[in-house]
Amino acid sequence: MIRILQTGRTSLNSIQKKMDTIANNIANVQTKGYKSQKAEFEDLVYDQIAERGVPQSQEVREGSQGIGTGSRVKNINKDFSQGPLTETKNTYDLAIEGEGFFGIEDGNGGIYLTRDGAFSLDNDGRLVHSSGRYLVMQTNLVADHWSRLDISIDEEGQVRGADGNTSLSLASIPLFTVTDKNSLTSIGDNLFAIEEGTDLYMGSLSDGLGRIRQGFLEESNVDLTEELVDMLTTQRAYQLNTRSITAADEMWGMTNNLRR
Amino acid sequence: MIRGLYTAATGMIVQERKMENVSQNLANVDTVSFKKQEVLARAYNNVTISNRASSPNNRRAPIGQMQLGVIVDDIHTDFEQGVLDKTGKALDLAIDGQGFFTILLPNGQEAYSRDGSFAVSRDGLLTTKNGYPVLDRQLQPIYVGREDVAIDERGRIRLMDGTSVQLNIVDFPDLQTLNKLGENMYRVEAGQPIEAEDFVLRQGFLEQSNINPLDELVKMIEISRSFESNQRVIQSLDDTLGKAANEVGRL
Repeated sequence: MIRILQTGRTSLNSIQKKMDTIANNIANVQTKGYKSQKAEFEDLVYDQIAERGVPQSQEVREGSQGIGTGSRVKNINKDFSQGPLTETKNTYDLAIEGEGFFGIEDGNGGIYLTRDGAFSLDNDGRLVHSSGRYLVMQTNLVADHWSRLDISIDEEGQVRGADGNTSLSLASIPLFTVTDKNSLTSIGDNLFAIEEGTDLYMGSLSDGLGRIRQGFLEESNVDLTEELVDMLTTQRAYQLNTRSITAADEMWGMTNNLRR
Repeated sequence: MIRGLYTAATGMIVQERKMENVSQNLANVDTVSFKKQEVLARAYNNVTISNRASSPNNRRAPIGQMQLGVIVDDIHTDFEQGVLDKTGKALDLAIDGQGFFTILLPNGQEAYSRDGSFAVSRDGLLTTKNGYPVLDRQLQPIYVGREDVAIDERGRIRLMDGTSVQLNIVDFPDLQTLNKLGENMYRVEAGQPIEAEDFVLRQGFLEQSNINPLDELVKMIEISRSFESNQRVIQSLDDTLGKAANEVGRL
């Protein structure tokens, strides 16, 4: 009976984690550049029945079949599919159409990745992410007079400033990606941290990393209907597994009542 | 009477194992490609019961055959196809039909799995989500480099440099020789894998578990009641024994 209780407990834990990711997705249905997550399960080790003092047939005794011991969350899968773009017309609102990420300085020489392109220009002429950190870009011209220019950013990430008839190349914004996108971890503020030792690739549209769209923002790719359906099924799965705990409890009660 | 106590006890033990198995099935209702298991029970071998006391000259008078309890006969895995669920991810593969992917375990052995939710490792190899390499026909790990690869219905992966690699998708003459290993994998006890024929590989899909919650709940009620019946048998035998011990000899 203890085994049934443990099996039920592992599964309630993993289903609870799945519910947490669903709640997180629903909470971020309006978050710019958010990527939805999904919990994937796997079964736990199998306990060989031959070794457990059960009345058994010859074949079972000689085989190595077992009864499993529950489930756990194998992996939280991130869905990096494109979110819909909405037009904002703001000069420094950028969206990526494709698979790349913007790089954000983490303050220690490394970078974070993000799909949230709602930037603003600070007094030193740097583009600031909504988390207060700086966008990684190659500046050609010191930007203290950017605010007087008419700024345009093209699909390749080239920032140009027009002043009357002259057009100046100010900077270029690179995009980044990693081989194993699933190894990225969300650290809040719409940022993804890169696992240590992962190769980082830098490039632009011509490297297949996607096109930058000025004046657009990428919406969250959470599909609310799907999340709600998932929530229903997950809740039912939870209920179902509480039943196996109740059943084990009743069976244990009956065993205790053998001797009245 | 005492014999009956042990018979009922085997019933309770086997029902408990059955319940463990149902709870395992329910725990994996959401596990990718999980195949339900069932504990099969059968009556214990027949024994001949004979009577000495009432026959003259203390001869054995056979009464007949009797079965003393129940044993676990087999644990059967039901390899029925699970429903395919669309995920849209390039490295989510589902086998529609008969077949298993070949996975290399850290100890150098091969394991088999129908869970095709793969990833690309740091070195660009195609791996499971737990980081075990997926093998090709020559039983070598597969270098794919990037996540967006095209995989056709027979399991051929077209790589960026134009070459292609064949995933090792295998089948077994007798699926019951496979034992579950955990982490959605199987190990083969006896026999060699053969090349799978009867399947279609679907990219962007995952196979769900083949658990039917309703079936499992009904089984749960059956088991619970059967356990209760066995418990009642023990109790009533205990009552009878109590009478024999305390009341038969009373003056």
